[in-house]
Amino acid sequence: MQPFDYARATSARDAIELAAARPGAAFVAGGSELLSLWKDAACAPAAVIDIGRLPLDAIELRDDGVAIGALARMADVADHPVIRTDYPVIAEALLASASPQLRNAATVGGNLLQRTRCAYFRTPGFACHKRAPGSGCAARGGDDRRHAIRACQARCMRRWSVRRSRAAGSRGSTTRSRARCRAWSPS
Amino acid sequence: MTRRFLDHTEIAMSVNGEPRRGAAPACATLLDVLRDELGLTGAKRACDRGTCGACTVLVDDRRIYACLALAAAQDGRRVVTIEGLARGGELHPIQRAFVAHDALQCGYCTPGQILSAVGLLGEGRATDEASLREQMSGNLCRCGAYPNIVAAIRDAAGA
Repeated sequence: MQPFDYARATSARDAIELAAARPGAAFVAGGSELLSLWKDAACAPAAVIDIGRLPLDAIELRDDGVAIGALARMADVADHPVIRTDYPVIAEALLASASPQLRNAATVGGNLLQRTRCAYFRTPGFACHKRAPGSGCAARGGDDRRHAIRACQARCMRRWSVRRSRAAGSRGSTTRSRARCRAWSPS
Repeated sequence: MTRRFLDHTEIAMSVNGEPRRGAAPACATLLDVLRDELGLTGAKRACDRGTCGACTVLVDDRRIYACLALAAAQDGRRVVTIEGLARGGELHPIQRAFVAHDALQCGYCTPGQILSAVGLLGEGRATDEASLREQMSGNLCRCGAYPNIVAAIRDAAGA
């Protein structure tokens, strides 16, 4: 695991400025997704920007629906009176997800930004185009139970090919690797 | 701006009711700091991926996986591990129930099971045996001591 630096943002503007000052940095809030990816070598950010304490966790009833802050934690959304009474399907879906410990830490924003749960993507040593473009797809022909998208689709491969051809030449594999981390962070 | 990115961070936390302060690598997890810096080895490193629950601790009274929490992000927070659950030599009711119901075999998952159960009681979601089992699904026991674990928690919760 490659060590990373840490900075805590004091405001949304501060977070944006920190991200601009440190290309390749990833945002972190609850940490459950980023640290999982990092431990599995599916992501290697040079730095992380902690946005976990920013006041972006409000859940507000509006005329046209409900607004859920990106930093609202899954358990807090499920427990919120408005969600429980007016949007029970959201509360039930949240409580059917992950585990209590994860729901206490994971934010809604981080949840939406999760990368694929494919075990091959998250297990170093297996071929995976998403983790290491060009390495192959172990899900194709492998165990594909619990995979939301089966194996490798031609459309994904075309996108990868375009990316690879753009990245060819002066940009090496390290650049591509950082680009993937960058794409993961909510910037 | 770049000076604000640190490779080591200073962390001040309340751990089991005592103020603790120290520096840790920026990428250290709460579990790393508890076990390696503070010598609190009750929280176990097993899967290290937020799946098994052996590292469960309470942070500001909520149960979380210490293996997936950045230590730096816990600055100023209140952490409780299994070492701090008993008060003045008196076991926590969940601990007493685990003893009474023989709710363990090898014991490796037990600190996490107990902290998770303490968190569960605070959440108030376990209303019957089915919901209790569901709400303890974040903790695995390879010995399969589940029947006694459930019995112990049900007993302590008065459910």
